[in-house]
Amino acid sequence: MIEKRLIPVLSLINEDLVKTIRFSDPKYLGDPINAIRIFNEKEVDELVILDIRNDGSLDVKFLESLVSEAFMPIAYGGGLRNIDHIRSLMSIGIEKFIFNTALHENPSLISECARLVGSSSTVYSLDFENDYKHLRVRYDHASKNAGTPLNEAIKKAEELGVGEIILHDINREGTFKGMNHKLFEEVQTLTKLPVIALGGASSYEELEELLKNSALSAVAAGSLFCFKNKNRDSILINYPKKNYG
Amino acid sequence: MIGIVDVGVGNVASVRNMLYRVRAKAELVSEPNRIHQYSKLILPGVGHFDAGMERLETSGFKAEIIEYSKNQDKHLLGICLGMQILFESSEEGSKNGLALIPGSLKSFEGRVPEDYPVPNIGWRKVRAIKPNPLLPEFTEGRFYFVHTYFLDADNSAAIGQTEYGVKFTSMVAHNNIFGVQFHPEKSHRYGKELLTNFSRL
Repeated sequence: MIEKRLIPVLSLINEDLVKTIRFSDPKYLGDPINAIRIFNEKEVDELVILDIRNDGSLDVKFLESLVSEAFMPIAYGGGLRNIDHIRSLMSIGIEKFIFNTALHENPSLISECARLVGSSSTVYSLDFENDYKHLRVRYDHASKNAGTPLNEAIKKAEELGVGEIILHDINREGTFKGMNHKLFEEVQTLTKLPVIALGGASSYEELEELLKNSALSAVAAGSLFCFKNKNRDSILINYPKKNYG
Repeated sequence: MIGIVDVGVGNVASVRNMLYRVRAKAELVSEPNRIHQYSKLILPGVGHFDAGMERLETSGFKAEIIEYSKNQDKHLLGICLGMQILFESSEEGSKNGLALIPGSLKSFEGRVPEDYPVPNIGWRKVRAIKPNPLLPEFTEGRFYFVHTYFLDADNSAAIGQTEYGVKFTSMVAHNNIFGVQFHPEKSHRYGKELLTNFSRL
């Protein structure tokens, strides 16, 4: 069996670690450097860092201070402006780049990035909303409707040279309500690319079950790895102990 | 002192961070003729085979690295694409590699079962198949991989093997030249151990 990844997601506003519910209502959690140190000690598989203001203004020096504490792969997204911005983030040790808005507003940046760092380090975050039976692709921190069916967004990402897709469930984000297993599994069948499921994780057991029973490559979670429990009142950076066999 | 070849792209900062963490002396080197002052050289790399070679050629590093590798007192370590370009060629491109070790890279595409996504991204086991100065204490380690092209399991320089739908070579040693397909700088304690051992060669 292929060993699959469990990926904590850290959301930042300015230089603060926050956690949202359904992409809104950010709650302040603390200093991200502490979280990163703990995740490093716990030897997490990989880390996703998102600047959820999404304007690309986060200080590169500040990000450098975070990244130099982490000896695992780091994927970064949120307002990647241009190829020089990506180069400067590469030079501080970030190796994977996550795009969302660019797919719709600046697709050539994605293919440029894929040529620079390789497809395997170019990631598309497909943020979707589930409106009864209709799936809508949204972007720019879920503020805009792409008007593109999910399968077409995936196809476009593949054509631009993306090597991995984060599938982010807006409705369940931060809710601890459990993930939409069926949907994630269906989407994995639409593409040969590795898919990372994100949104709504309720427990370690759920993540394990989803990974075991699906072709998904990885499962990611924010709240589950940052809060002690679903009440969201006490913060506890946590990560399951893995059996390395 | 370890020199880390810096041609403006790649995971140089992560490699340097990890070396600092294990208290090895290291610095980035961007002037090709200066590499000879280092007792060890790390060649990191990400991206396309041809683009990687192109950068080494236009920057002038290619000839200097080939020269460097001939000195048996020096040690060279290629990481990820930096390992791949130690070989002669790759299905990814049409350029010649540094050709310091015989062999060529193949794509996973069409060579792994349907349920194995390509690229191979994630943590995989590396099994030592020969006594190995980089990881003498272990027979099996766990490292982070990101790649689409692989080296055949039966390559003459193979010292470590990994399985991803197909068995492939994940670590090589050829005289004073070493290569790893995975990213030790992103592989927690196994990566620390490997880079510590390289720094002490």
